[in-house]
Amino acid sequence: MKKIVTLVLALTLALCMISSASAITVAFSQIGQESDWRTANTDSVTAAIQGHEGWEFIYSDGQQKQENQIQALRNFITQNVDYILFTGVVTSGWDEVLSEVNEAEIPLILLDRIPDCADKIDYVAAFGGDFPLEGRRQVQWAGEYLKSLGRDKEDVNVVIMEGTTGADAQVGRTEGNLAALADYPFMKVVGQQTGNFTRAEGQALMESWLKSIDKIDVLIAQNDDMALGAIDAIKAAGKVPGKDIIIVGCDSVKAAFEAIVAGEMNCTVECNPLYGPFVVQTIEALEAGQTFDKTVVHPEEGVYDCVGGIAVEGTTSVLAGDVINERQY
Amino acid sequence: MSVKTEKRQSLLTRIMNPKYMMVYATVIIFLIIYAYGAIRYGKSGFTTLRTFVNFFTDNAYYGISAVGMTMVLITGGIDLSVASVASLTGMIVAYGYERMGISPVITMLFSMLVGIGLGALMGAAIHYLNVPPFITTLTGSFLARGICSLISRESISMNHPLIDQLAGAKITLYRLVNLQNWEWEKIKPITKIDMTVIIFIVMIIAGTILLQHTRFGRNVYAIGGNEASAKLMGLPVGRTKIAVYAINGFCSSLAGIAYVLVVKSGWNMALLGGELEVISSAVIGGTLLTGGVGYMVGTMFGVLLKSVIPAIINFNGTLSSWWGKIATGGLLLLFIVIQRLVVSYTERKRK
Amino acid sequence: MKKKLHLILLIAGAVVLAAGLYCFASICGMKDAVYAGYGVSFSDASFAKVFVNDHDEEAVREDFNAAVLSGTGDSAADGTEAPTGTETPAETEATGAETETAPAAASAGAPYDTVIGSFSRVSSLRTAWRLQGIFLPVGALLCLAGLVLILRGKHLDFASIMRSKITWAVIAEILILIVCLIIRPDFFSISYQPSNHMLYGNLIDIINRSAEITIIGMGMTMVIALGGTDLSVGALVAVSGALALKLMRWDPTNPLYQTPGDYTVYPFILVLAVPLLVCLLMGLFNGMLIGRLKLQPIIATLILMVSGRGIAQIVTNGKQYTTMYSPFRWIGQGSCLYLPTPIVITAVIVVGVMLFVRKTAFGTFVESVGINANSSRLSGIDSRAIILIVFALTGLLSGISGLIYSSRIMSNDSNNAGLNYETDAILSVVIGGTSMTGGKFSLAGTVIGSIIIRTIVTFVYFFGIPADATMAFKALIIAVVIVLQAEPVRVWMAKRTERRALAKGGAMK
Repeated sequence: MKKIVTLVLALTLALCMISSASAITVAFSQIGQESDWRTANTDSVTAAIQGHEGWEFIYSDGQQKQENQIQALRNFITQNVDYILFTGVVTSGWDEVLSEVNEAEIPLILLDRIPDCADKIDYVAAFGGDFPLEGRRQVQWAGEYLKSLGRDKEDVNVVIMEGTTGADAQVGRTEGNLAALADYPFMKVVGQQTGNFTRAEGQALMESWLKSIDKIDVLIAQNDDMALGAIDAIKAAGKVPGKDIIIVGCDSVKAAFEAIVAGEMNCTVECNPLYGPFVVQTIEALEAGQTFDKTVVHPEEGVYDCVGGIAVEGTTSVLAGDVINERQY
Repeated sequence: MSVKTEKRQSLLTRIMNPKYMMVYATVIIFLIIYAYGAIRYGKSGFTTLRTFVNFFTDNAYYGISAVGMTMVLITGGIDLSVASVASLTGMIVAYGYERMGISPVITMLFSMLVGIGLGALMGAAIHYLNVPPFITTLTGSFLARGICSLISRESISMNHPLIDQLAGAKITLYRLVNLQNWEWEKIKPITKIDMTVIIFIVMIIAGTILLQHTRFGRNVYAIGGNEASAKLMGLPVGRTKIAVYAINGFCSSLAGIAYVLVVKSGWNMALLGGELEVISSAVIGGTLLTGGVGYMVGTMFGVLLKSVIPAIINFNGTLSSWWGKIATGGLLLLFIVIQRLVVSYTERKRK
Repeated sequence: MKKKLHLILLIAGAVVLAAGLYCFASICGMKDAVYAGYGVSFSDASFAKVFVNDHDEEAVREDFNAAVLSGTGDSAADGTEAPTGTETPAETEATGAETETAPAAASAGAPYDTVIGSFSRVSSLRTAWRLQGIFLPVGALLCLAGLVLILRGKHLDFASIMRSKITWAVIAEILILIVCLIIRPDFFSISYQPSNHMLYGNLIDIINRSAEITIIGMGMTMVIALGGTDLSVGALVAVSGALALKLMRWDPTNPLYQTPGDYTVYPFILVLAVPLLVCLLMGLFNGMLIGRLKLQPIIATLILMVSGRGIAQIVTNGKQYTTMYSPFRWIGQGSCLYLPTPIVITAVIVVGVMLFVRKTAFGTFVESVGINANSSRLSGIDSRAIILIVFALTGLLSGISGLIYSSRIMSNDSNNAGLNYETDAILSVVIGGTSMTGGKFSLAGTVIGSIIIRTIVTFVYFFGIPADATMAFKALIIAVVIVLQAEPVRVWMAKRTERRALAKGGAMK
């Protein structure tokens, strides 16, 4: 044991003499690869930074485990990287390791999911989706669409398929869903359960709902994967997805666009994963000495649906068929 | 190894005793991997003391739990409930303070009792009902995680001065001299040793003493070697087994507390699949799953090996972290093959 | 006398089954009447809600009319547009006339009176609804038990039933189902879904969704009978799905993103064969480690469990491929013999494995190796070959299971596919009465075990209990079953029943 420590100390001494290279190293601790959205997000950031001249990129996949991510962040500190990009798998529990990042004086850029300790730590910039807004938009779109069909006189039964319990996106979108439902008294929640953001569980859950709840008119799925899983279950029950049951998804992955164009889904609220350009801009600005204040910047996000022109908070929906060919992911 | 030669054994032969082979194999492989990292990524800070301390910090909670697991494995059992119990501990502490206003000291003690109680219960079921440990502890794991989910479905972050203090209690090593021009400079910490690391090391030492220098420890090895003959020898098999599972339960809840110090929150999905990390650390550290063989020092190096591989992949930066999983699988294969060879070697020698 | 018991069981089962079918038919008849009369297809749930809830005739009339009217859609409220909406499926003149002549509000009483007529019919329907739920499964079970007994020619008495481990699994399953029945009588309703040619209902769902675990369970049962465990099955499920999707979607000549469609890049036979072959090889790898190197099964399979998911991720480069290829869809979502395809695949595999195991000496070999590997080697059984075959088979079955899983979602999901399948499979084997210490095994028990596990999940979804509580439920039920199956408990129970039988016999003398 002693020998190892001496060895390490000796090596440390020797290697401290060598000054490190001058290139900017950017490290990214990502959650994992749990969905198409996440893959698009990773690809965008990776491409943007690797494509930038003179920048080095270190990527670490957390495999959906907080402990892996904590370990990765600590390793980034020891490597003395120049910037840390961070997306946490869960909202809480980052105080300790992020304050270590602060102590090491490495600029921290928060992406996508903002941890709940954000007010206690220093970060140079934050960029992420507005989950409550997305949740509100989902319900607003469904409400306005029903009004346009003249169905606001009757009782409309709504089921909410939540994401992985405790995830930032689930907490935010559920909050948004429930807040917006107050404005549409004719929509009544008859089921609320987690589908864990996966297709398989979304499918199994919908299958069961179709049997336990007499009448489902609207499905609000907190991501597209679950909505796509539910479509298969609805078909298996002999109903027509998109007509008998109005389906509103979230994220806007390509598969959802294809489903909307095929008439099997009605709407998807965008959650833009293309963070690459933002990250590059921010780092360039920081290198130039500019500073940002501690507010979370939200990306421009749209709503894509089967009819177009439905007004929701902050934007108006666009016909999915018109833009499907421009979608990158 | 007859009684006669035992006293005369020189230091060298004692060290070269094949029963320590596994531990040496672990240490050597750790050193090889470390040296590889040092040569390949020395420039980007792989050789710093901070990196080295991080190997401990990264998996300290798994290490604490692995202390109990090693004992369970030595008796020839297995415990799949450790990660769930740790997660339940975190949930009890976080929920107790944030939602019910109970001081963390009380909830910590309470959760330790829960851990010990659940462990003893499982030990009793294994011994008296003759249910295989695998199934018993799997049920225990479901139960603990289920209760955890029933307490709260959301992750609860907690804010208590005591937790902050415990988490903040670190031994800081400072560097006062700039090594490039040998001048005094602004005090900058080289590294910090966390509370969790101290608990980890203390537990390893305590575990070693318990296993090697007490009657209880000898009983544990005897049961793992051959339960039937241990019974015939009049050893308290049932009591020892229940005690081992209870100690393991205590270690799991202590690991849970250590994890709370790291993340300062309770989450029902925390440490999912951690039991396999713990078991594989012990196995990489030379503990035989058939029972009877295992050392705490080996386990410690097993835990270190499990941190050094991800560190190398992380320093590389472009490799998919899933290669880490594959490498761990490969290491496991390597180790159990070595174990197999050592066991058959000693068997042949005995003949 | 004892031979006759089988026949009695069989006949009783057939009678109960027939009664259940009669009830089923009468419910269907009622639904058809509503459908023909009003062009409304009721969902089972709403139909049940109207008829099953206990309340007076007036309430049923109101509910029924409301359901019919809301079922026709909002157009019915306008009265004038109603015929166009309702006439399309069933063009009975009476319907058209009725809805045309009377505005919806005024004709509120009409549907009930025309279709139902009197309240006694409602109550008989209600009874039919409940009885169907009990009769169908119980009848099927009795028939099955009779058949199995006749085929096996085993004698049957109370003590041997009590000693049998499967009994407890069956009782547990029936208890859960009875709880379901009490809370929601329509839990058992089964109907025919013409749009995709298959039966539709919770019971079908349970069996359908348990397919993956049941298939793996067939291999796992024998692995456990050998005294081992296979932890790698979940990871193999992920590998199989990843390979299948990669072969369907990954085109090296055209790396750009392509819209998923009804096509496959490599021939379909390859899409099926390669994953199965790879899983078979991985199973062989496990078997080699355990059979040749004599490694502990838990740790030997832990290797692939840890690295398998990594391999799956690296095969697909972390991507989630999606496909629309219809032959592939058939595996998980198609219908075969009016049942979802996975059920049929499972049935074929279960029967195939049972025949292979029981009609050849293989099953006996497995049991003897599980009880004592050394002595069976001395008696001329090649235990290494047995171990190799069993693990390879488990690998292959995991591969099939992986194809079904990925076909259900038409994509690969290396993170979640097969997650915790190893524990579920082991649990279903143990609940089914196979002992973890090796030796005797029961494939039928495993099937019941896996159905129990799926019933719990369906139960949780159906009754809207937070899904996170599933674990606690599982633990509770498993703990009960395991304690009941534990050696000391069973010995005690068997002794008690024997003592009672003895006492009775003594009294008779």
